[in-house]
Amino acid sequence: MSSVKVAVRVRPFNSREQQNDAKCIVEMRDNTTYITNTKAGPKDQAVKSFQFDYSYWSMDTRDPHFATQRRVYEDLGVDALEHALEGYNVCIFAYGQTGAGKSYTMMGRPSEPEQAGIIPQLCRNLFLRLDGESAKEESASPTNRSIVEVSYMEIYCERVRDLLNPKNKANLRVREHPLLGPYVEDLSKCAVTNFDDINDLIDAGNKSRTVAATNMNETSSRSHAVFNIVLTQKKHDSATELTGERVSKISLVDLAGSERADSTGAQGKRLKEGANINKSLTTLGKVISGLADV
Amino acid sequence: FIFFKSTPDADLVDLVSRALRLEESSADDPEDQPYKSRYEARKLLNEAISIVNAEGLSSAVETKAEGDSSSPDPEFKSHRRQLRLLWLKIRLASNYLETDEASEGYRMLTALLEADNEVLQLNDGGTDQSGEVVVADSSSANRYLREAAVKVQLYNWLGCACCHLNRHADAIEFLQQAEAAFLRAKRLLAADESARAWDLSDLFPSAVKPANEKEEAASALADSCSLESLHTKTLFYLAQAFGKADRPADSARYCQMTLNRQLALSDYAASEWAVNCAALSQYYLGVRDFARAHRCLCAASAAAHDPDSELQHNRASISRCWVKYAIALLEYSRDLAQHQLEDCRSEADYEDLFPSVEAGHHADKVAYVPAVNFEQARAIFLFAQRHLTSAKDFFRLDEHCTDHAELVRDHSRAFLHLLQFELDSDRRARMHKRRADMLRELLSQLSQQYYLLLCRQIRFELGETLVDLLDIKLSALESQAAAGQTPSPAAVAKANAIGRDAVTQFDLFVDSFRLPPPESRLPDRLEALDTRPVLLALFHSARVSARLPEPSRDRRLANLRRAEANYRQVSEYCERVPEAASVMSPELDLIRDMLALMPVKVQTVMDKFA
Repeated sequence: MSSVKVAVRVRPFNSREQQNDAKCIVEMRDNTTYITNTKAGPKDQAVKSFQFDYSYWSMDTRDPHFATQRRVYEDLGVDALEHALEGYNVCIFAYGQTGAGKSYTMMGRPSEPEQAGIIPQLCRNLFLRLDGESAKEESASPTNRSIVEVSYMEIYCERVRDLLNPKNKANLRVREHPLLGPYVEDLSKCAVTNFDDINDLIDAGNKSRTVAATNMNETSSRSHAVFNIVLTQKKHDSATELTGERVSKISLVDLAGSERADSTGAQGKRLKEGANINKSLTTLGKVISGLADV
Repeated sequence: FIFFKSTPDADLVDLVSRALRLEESSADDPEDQPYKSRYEARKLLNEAISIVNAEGLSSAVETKAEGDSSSPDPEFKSHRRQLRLLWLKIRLASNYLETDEASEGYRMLTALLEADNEVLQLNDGGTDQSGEVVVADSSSANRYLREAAVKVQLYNWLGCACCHLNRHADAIEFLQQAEAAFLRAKRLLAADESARAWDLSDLFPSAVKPANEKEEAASALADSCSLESLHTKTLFYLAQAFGKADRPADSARYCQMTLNRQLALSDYAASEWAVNCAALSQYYLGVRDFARAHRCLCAASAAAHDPDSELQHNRASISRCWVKYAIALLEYSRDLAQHQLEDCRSEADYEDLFPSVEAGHHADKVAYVPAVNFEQARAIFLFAQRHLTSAKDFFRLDEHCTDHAELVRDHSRAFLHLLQFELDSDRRARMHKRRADMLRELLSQLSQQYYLLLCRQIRFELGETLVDLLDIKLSALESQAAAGQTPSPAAVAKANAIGRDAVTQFDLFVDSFRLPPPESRLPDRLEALDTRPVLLALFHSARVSARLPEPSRDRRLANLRRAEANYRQVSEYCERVPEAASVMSPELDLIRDMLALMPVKVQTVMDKFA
């Protein structure tokens, strides 16, 4: 099993692209993505190919090789869940420009079950598995029950906000514990026992993400959202009368839009950062630190 | 002064006011229309420009026709109009720069430079022999002072535009012209107490302070357009431009000037200022300019000298910078001593970078010249230790894990440099032991899973420390043996214990790179950056094993076998991976020799214990 898998997905044209009569320069065959450079000169190679573990064609539903939400989950989510149940930590990142469809792939459309993204599908299947396993247990005692805890946070401009407790306006501190590792102080961890619970929390979290965005004029595209599931599985061994615990963490991350954010320097595409002069004296510290790195 | 308030003028001021505010609020634009406010501001600026142009045409007609003396001095009015036009065009050009149309913005700015613009007096009437600007009379001086802010503004934006277009040398030139223009204005102001430089509110009265707006917001806007704050920007932009042009020394100088400027204008938050000043010292450490680093740190400490608890973090950060300073100075001192060189800098090189900050109590507590003997080195070390204690007090292990670990490693490093000056081997051994103890304690407190890289670094250093300690113990045993004395079993046992510990540490280090079970071996190919550390750890482990003065024959033979296995492992890896061979070239010859000598060593052991 390779520890890192990379998948790429292409979405249908949006209305603006359709209006502008956009041309699709992406093609996918098997797991290879082909991109055509329409401005290629006669000596340049017009079509470049890129190998990925998965190349998902979600451009046109009419195409035979159209990749559905279900298919993406089957390839990526099923294994992730399996590894988590075995006790490994797994992490799924979605990366791309604003509007590329990251949130659609990770969350999907809550109102339409067929368009559920990786996170809801994974949660649903997690509970199906856990319920199934506890049903199998002959002596299903309370000590055997697995515990599922979720947390949902948003990171914007190096500030962390708890999406499951939006009333807590304070910026949460990130601390490093020598044995437990880095953690976010006071981040709510909610225990959930079924899929509906988790679904409600996800909805609430998503809404407070939008609300937070409007209040401070940030947009969801400029912040990272991290949805964590901590799974504690307890297994009772009747022979030794001991109960073992296996803890694994599933991290599902919807990263901020990868394009340059704005000219105030909040983020910066690396190329731009090199050229631009920072106008605000609040960045003096950054300029000085940059000196020491040279 | 009285100005002629006509309807176009009120409109003009209103347009400027709205344009300024739109640009201020552009950060709030929706993300799919990021330049919405700026495009609107652009329209308003263009309107304002047409009003001023129209004014120009009509008053040209007026002046010819009437020579009206009831309105203000026509020359004054005309000058102000020209300046208004210039300011608006500069503002418009900057709008293009801020909306990703850099080339257009640049084109507009250079057009302003080249235009037959009597306003800008860019040739500034010449200089006398001392380089001082010759200003004919007070009316020229006043004229110059009215234009100064606009000039600086223009040059500042030209500097920004050039940086944006990656033309750093040009940017620097423009910004230096801005600097020169400001300095000339200052000299003129100094010469005449009643003189005053114009700012935005002179060009567009009440654009900056309309009746209905909050005082704070208005004055912030006013400040940002004043000559003084424009100059602060010039300095800051120069610091950046020099950085981008790969001239770090000049960049550092301008950072320092910006810091001084903040002090002069009382325009800073004390804690931030102190931290920035301390950070600047780290640059100077990098170029071994201890005098300047020292000055930065003294100023930082003085500025942060406030019992306010909120500043604890900043004081701890500054302490950390002092620690780095002391360690760098000790290391430099050691380098000089080893190569028997002398530091040729003198007292005279210690310039006061921050004249307005009281040197405070730190100036005499640590040197900025290298140490030449143990006493001096010890003084620097003790200074470092005080700051380490202070910093560790804030950066506690259970909250700031990596910061704390870094401080412990610094402490170990400080000891390492100090003991280079210590001649007595017992005392050296004690210092190594202190190092080993603190590194071991730190290691026991960290999760290897979450702090893998950190643990690896600490463990390797611990291994090296134990090897250094072992060397001292072994040479003591050897000199005893050479003098005909039998070494005490306790001393031998001690040396073996240290050695075995060293081997354990290096082995654990290598183990951390193994593949997970069931394979549990080293990967066929290590990452490039891991290669030398891992192979070196195998090498050290082997060397120590082979040297241990174990009293039992079987133990010695087992050690030799282990050493041989390690040497072979390194040798084979280097054969298989050519890059590794080049990275390990200093040690490979030694390894080959060791492997060749192995049978002899084994025989020696057999003979010895026969």
